[in-house]
Amino acid sequence: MDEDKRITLDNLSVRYRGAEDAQLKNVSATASIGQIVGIIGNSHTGKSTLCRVLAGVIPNIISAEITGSCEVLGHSPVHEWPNFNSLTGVVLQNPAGQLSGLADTVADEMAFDLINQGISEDVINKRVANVAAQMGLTDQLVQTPESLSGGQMQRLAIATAIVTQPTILIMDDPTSEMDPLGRQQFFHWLANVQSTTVFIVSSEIDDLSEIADRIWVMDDGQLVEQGTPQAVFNYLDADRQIPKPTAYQLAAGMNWHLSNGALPVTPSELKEAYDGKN
Amino acid sequence: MTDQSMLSGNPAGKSRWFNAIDPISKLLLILDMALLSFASTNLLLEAGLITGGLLLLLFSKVSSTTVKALGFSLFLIFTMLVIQGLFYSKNQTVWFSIIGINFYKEGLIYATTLGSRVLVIILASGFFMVTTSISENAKYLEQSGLSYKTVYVLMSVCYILPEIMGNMRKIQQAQRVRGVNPQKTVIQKLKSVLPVLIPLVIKTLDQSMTRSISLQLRGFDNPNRKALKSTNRYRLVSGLHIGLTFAAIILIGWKLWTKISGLL
Repeated sequence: MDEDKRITLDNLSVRYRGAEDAQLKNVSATASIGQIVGIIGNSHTGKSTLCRVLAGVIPNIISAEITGSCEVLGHSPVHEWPNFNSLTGVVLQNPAGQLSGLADTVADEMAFDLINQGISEDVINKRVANVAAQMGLTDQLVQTPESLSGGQMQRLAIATAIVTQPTILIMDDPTSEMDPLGRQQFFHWLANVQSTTVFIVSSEIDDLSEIADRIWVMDDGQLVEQGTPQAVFNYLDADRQIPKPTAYQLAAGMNWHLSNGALPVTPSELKEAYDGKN
Repeated sequence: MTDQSMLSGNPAGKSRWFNAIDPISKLLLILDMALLSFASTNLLLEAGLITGGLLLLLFSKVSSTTVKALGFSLFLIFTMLVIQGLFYSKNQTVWFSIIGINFYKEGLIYATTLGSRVLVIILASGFFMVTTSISENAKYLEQSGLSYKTVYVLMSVCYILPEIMGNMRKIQQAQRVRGVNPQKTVIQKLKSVLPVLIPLVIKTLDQSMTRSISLQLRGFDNPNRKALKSTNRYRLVSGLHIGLTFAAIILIGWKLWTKISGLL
């Protein structure tokens, strides 16, 4: 496959200035254009640092020692950041920190990135209306960003990231403050995203298993597993203490296997395994 | 919805009289009122300025922040009155006594003059703060030709104080919920502030760093940035600028002249 259609991390290590240990240790991984990559792992395992490298925040904004290489769709976030930044949308862990602080309304906040790109007002209005509808924020467009709830604030943060129609979307725990319905709507929306390569850190294992093309498992700064959700959760070491999808746990309890011998990880696979058993 | 602008860069309707005054004129008004207050020791003039400032606030918006600021400054002024009324170095004439403690005329007049000046500045600044949003200032300055980066640095100073106060409220609320400090008296409130000062500053700096990262990711220093053209809703901009600047120059000149002539 062409280099400009792949994401390749090769022996990537990152150590923050002043830190004794590296936050990422010899991470090597691949994914393809248009895929959704779910990044999972326990706390302080390097997930956010990986997102920062993929977004080019390290070393362009936050100083750190980097060895190895990171190529995303033919671009290097480390060496070609200004160009790379125009292709990416980033959702930070803290949604309030993502807001400009100078917007009177939710609509203004969404428009901020587009104004920065010098886009005309007509286009800005259309894009803002479109993205607000996608994120369920149409009724909040004239409210102040500060008046939003935590979940709405997170949807606004996502809206600000996708309003520029990025080729690469990097999201660090974007649903942590959402209610169950909001989270469900978000993953439904994400499943239908097209022409965008998505990296998403999340602890919503069930949702990730359904929508992700690949799962990367982080532990102590290392990428310990990578592959399809089915492959990863079937071979994931129990010592990692990462919860398995509900479908997997149920199927394991009932001894329902798929035709390939693996345990299902999504509801549709669970049904398939059930039908195969009966 | 897409047919008309939903962005406040192009405000439609809902405009009140103070929205027609541009931010620079409002800042010049603060300067003029402060200079006028400092130019004279006439208490009638001070009373007039305070009344003017109060009217400006009453006919615009009165926010809880302004009321709190006024309450705090009145508390300070009261302590000034007590201290100066008792201990001012030029005290000579006893004005009145409370439980045998003498309050002197000279000290009380001096403290009243100082307090009036503080009030004038707070009322004029309060008018500016309640009638001008940070984003309005930012837009105005950007349209006046400043780069957005410079505007942001200037405006972030305005932004960081409410952020610190917001963080402080959250921390104090958490303290009260945990029963760490009941914060019923002023002393208890002050005591609760001291131990959280360093974490408060660190938290605010951390938030500022996150915002800085986010702004760079969102391309706020992009050379292609084009500020939205807003319809000019400000009235008499040049006239107000010239008039208020002229008044400020006259007041400074007059103050300097009285100082110099006093030396001669």
